[in-house]
This record gives sequence, structure tokens and C-alpha cells, in this order.
Amino acid sequence: MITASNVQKTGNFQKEVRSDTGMGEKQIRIKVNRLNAFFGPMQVLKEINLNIYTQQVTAIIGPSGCGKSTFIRCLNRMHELVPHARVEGNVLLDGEDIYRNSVDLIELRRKVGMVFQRPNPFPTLSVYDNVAAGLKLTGMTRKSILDEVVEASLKRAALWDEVKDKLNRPGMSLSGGQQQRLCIARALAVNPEVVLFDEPCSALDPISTGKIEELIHELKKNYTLVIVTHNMQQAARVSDYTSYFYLGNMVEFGETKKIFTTPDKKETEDYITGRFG
Amino acid sequence: MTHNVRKIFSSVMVAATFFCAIAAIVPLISILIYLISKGLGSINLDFFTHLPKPVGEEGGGMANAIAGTLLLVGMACLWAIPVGVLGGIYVAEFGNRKLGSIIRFTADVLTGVPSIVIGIFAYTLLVLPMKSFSAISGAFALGFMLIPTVLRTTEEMVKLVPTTLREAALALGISRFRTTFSIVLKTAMSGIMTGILLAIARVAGETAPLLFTAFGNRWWSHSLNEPIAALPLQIFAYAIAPYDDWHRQAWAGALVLIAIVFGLTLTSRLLTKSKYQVHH
Amino acid sequence: MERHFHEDLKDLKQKLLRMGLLVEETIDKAIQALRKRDNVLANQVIAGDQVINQLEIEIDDSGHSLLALGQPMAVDLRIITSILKINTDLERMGDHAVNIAERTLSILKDPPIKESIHLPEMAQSAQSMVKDALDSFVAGDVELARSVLRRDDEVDAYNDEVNAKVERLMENNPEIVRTGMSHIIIAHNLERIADLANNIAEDVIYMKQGKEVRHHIENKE
Repeated sequence: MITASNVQKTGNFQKEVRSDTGMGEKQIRIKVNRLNAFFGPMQVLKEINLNIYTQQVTAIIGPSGCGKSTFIRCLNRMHELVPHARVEGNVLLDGEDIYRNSVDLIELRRKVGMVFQRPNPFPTLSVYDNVAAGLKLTGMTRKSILDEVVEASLKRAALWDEVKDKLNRPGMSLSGGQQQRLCIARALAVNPEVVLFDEPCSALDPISTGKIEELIHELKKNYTLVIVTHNMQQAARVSDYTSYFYLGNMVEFGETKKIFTTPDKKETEDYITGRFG
Repeated sequence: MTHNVRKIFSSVMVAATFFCAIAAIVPLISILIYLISKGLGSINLDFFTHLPKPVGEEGGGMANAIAGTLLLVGMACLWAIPVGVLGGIYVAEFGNRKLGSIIRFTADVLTGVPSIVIGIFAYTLLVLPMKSFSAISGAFALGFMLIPTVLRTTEEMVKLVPTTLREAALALGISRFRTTFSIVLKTAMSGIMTGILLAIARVAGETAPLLFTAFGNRWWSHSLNEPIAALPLQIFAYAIAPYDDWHRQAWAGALVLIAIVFGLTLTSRLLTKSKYQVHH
Repeated sequence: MERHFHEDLKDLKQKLLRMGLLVEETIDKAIQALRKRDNVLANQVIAGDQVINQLEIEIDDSGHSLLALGQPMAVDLRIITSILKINTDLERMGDHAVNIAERTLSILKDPPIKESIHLPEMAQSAQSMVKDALDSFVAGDVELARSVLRRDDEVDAYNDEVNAKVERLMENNPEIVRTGMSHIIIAHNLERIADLANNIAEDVIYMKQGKEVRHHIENKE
């Protein structure tokens, strides 16, 4: 339940960078352990083992159908919303399995936010209400707090300057790139720890894409980010760690620099050099 | 040679489709013109404010019938619309389950049931036990005609809401319940409103269900348990009577009825232009 | 907001500058060691080569990363490829400075040559070319780079002069052959340093203008 003091704590955007763990020791925020995912009888993910490090950007790349979107949806338990979809294995968020029986799904999805491929602001709501939706619809009503969180979120999403005079305009009246940043602000407003991006720039023009890429670079100071992209150059530009998926298997995982200059597996190299896929 | 033949054939077909389209509209326009010409003269303030005069006397109005229709339709809406909307939401969100498809099927069947049968049903269910005709049974019958349309419209509109909006809401940590009502329903609302208005427009003019339920009344009703006047019933009663004055008033009544239907349809059209709706 | 790629590019440039300054200092130290007949300085030059090599590896690594991860275009691409080339040239200059230092240590074993053979002037000329080449890179100053290209002939002339003078000296005084050879080799290394400075200047022009000036193509057209 969101209470005033709760949000004060979690919505406190005054504290800037979270405690830096330093370059030496990278903390693991999410540990994926032998994850298998199914749509009915069809298996789409096979024994995935992966670490998502805190305050780093992890990119998942691979050809269409390799399971990268399915994977990311297993991290906030959105995968199982599809009828007959199921999962085996563990996903440990800060050490606790999100698939255990006692998990609070609502709280999980607050902690692990998501930005989708096509910008999807709520069409009946204004810019302000869109950003505030996550708080308002889970019980927060104090206007002063909502105002503060909306402004801070929009600033964090690099959108404040463009919309501060248009907060009451419909969310859909913004351009495509702005709408996507609005969706990012909306996700940030509930103060997540991890933000998942499912091909966030696919539907955007190059300039908007560039802005979002820079934004991701900024956001990692305060959040742990996982981004799925079919554009491997984007993964190269934006991420710290990259994982190559193929046909439901995690082929290789490593520092982005290594993956794109001297990958271990030939399959990875073939994909990256465009000799395949 | 064949090129010219084709050109002529094409022109002929275009002309034919044009005339068919005109032919479809002509009946509607001629009805309107006829109604207006026959009924407009009798529309005056008295018509809206006075009760019918006793047989044979000139003048009077249909105030009670107009009020009755408004009351009956209003009460029908009161119970039928929530049932239809909630049912529609259930079927849309959980329609793949057994109960969902049963409901959908039942609604479809209900749409096809003749309105007189619904009237008899309401008569058996309410009028007989209550031992009187009443506004309650009339509203019940009308409501029964509203439900299937409202339910199916709601279902269609809710289904039109893109899955990605639901996902966005759920991904924020919003509960399933809130997602459905505060996001999905709100987004589908203008479409649903349109459907509701059209359903009301249709039901407002129904006569058969009211024959054995509301029954009609020459005076004001003083309780919901009494027979109550309604426009369609009054028009029917006047039209088959031998008095010219009543015929005149019947036309006027028909005109008012059409005006109500027209007004509702127009309003629903205007709602479609709302800028907040989901762009289909 | 500036792309973080451009910030990384700035860092790379800074690193190269540091390398450039380091190499300039090293060359200077080698010349000083020769002039003052100072074996301590000469040994420092030789030992310091390790640092230069290490820096070259770092810059090479960073440059390749930026190419792979940043997909640079146009001027950004030319900047990085130029940096990678200049990096190699600088490291080689460092090697030539080491050669000069080693030759100096050898020279110290013999008495100094009394006649002036214009080696200091040649060194001065070569060093100024190096400085200007690096400055032209920092400032993106194409004119300054072109001025470096013009001075290459000067150093070549000095080289011929030194060779001629020393050859004559050796013909007349056989006992100075060993030290004479070392002087010739030193002159040769200085000439190579000037050539490398020339290369750097050509790279700067290409980087700024996208014009191919290497191998005197401009003159041929």
C-alpha cells in the first residue's frame, strides 16, 4: 500500500545517485537461474542463466524469434499474462525468487518497470495524469506529492522542459518520441529499481532514438536497466553488458566491449558481423 | 472497340449504384417529410403540457405519455445499463472461458427474440404476481431489450482497447481490477456511450413490450405500481381511433418520438468526435 | 545533451595529447643527453620507453572500442582513425628517441668531435616539426600542419649535410669512425622523427578536411 511516508521515501528524488558500488565489485541485481519459458507446449527459452548487474545497462540482442522479448517479460512476470504461458526456473531479484508463491505481484511490477515497443500513453489521460497514473491508481491522492513526483519523473525522462506548460494536454497530443519519454516518466514515477525496455526505439525516428539512447545512459546512474533491441549497433552504443540469444538459448554474455570486439563464440561473431541473421 | 464498351458499362454501373443509394435514403427522407408535414402543425405548448382530453373533445396533449416514455426509458437504463456494461466487460476480459461464451451466446439469442415475447415474459413475471400493470414491469421489459445490445457493444469496445494499454497499466503495478475499470473501461467509454445511446434510441420507440406491462394511462400515474402512459402506446391508441383530432395528435406524437430518437443518435455521433477516444 | 560518445572521444584525444607531450619530452631529453653527454638522462630515456609503449596500447584499445561501440561517422570517424595512426607514429618516435639515447651512450665512450656538424640545428628543426605537428592536431590548425610539411625538406637537407661532414671527418681521421658512425645514425633517427612528424601533419589535414595529402598526392595532381 502506498502511504504518504512510503512515497516520501520511495518518491524522494532529491537523493541523486544511489550509493555507487564502485568499479571493482559489481552487485548482481537480478540473477536468472535455469529459466525455461513456454507458450503451451512450445518452449521458447531454454535453461537461461544470466546476471543483471546493478546500475548497469544490459542489452539482449538476437534475431527475430530468439526469445529476447519473452525473456524480458519473465523478469516482471508479464509473460504469464498470455493464456497457457508458463515458466520454470528462478529469477532472483535482490536474492528473492520472484516466482515464489508468496510474492506480491503488484509490488514486483512496481519494482521492475517496463517501457514498451510502441509508445502507449493512456489515451484518455493528460500528460500529468499519465505520469501520475501509477501512483493515483494504487492509492496515492495527495496532490503535493503527486505534483512533486510528476515533475521529478518528467525531468528524469528529459521531457519536463518540453511539456511543463502542457501538463493538462492529452498524453496523445505529443510527438512519438515525446510519448515514449512520457511512458518512461510514467514508469519512473513509481520509483522502480529496475526498468525493462522492450525495443523502445523501434517505432521512433533517428533523432528521437538518439535522445532516448542518451537518456538511457543517464538513467543508469539511478536504475538498473535491461534493454531488448534488434539493432545491435544500438546495443553497442548504449549498454555495458550484452547477451546474445538464439532460438531460445543464451549463446554468450559478457561486457559489451568484449562482445563487439572479441566475442568468444563464433555464432556471436557471425551475428554481429552480419554474416548471419 | 471493347475499350469503349467497358467505359459505358462502367458508367452504367456507377449510375446504378448511385440510384440504389438514393433509393435507400428515399424512404427515410419521405417518412421525415411526411411526419413533419402532418405533425408539425399540432406541436404546441399544450401538446407538451396537457393531458389528453376526454373522447370527442378537441385539444389536449400528450404530456403524460412523453413523461411516461422518459420515465420508462430512464428506469430501464438504470438497471439494464450497469448489467449490460458489466456483463460486456466480463465477456471481453474473460470471454474465453465457458461462462463467458455462454453469456455471449445468450445475448445474441436475446437480440433476436421478438419484442412481444419479451412483453409477455415481463407480464408473466411481474404483472401477474403484482396484480397490476406498472411502470416497473414496463421498465423491466424495456431493460431486457437494452441488455443484449449494451452488452455486445461494451464487449466489442472493450476488446478494441489495445492489449498494450492493459500491459502498460499492469506493468506499473496497478491491480487487474483498477486496470479494467480505470484504464480499459475509460478508454472504451466513448464507444460504449455511442452504443448505449443507439440502444436507447431503438428501445424508446418500442411498443410491443409495453402493451401488457406499462399498458398506458389517460392520466398521470401516481405510483410506479400503476399503469403508465408511453408515447408509442398513445400513438397506437390514437391512430386506430376514429377521431381526426386524435389522428392529428398521433402524428405529432410520432414526430416527437422521431425527434427523440434523432436527438439521441445525433448526440452519439457528436460523442464519436471526442478527442480523448481511442483512435480505431 | 552531448552524446556520451563525444565525451569518450574527447577523453581519447586527451590521452593522445598526453602521449604527444610525453614523446616530445622524451625526444628533448635524448637531445639534451647527447648535447650534455649525460648518461643518466640517456638511461632515463631508455627506461621511459615502457611508459610510452603502454600508453600506445591503451590508446589503440580505446580507439578500437570507440569504433566498435560508437559507429562514428564522417569527421568523428576520421578523427579516430587519425588518432590511431598518430598513436603509432608517436610510439615510433619514442623508439627513435631511444635509439638516439643508445647511440649517445656509445658516443660517451669516445672523446667528442670538435668540429661542428650541425647536429644540434638538425635536432632543433626536427623537434620544432614535432611540436608544430602536435599543436596542429590540438588546434585542428590545417595551416600549421601544412607548414610542417614544408619543413620536411629542410631536415632532409640537414641530414645530407651531417652525413657529408662526418664522412669527410672519418676519411681524414680514422680513429673517429666509431663515434662518427654513431653520429650518422643519430642524424638518421632525427630524420626519421621528422618524417613521422610529417606523417602526423598529413593525418591532421586529412582529419580536418578529408583531403588526401599523403604521399604528396596533391602535388602530383
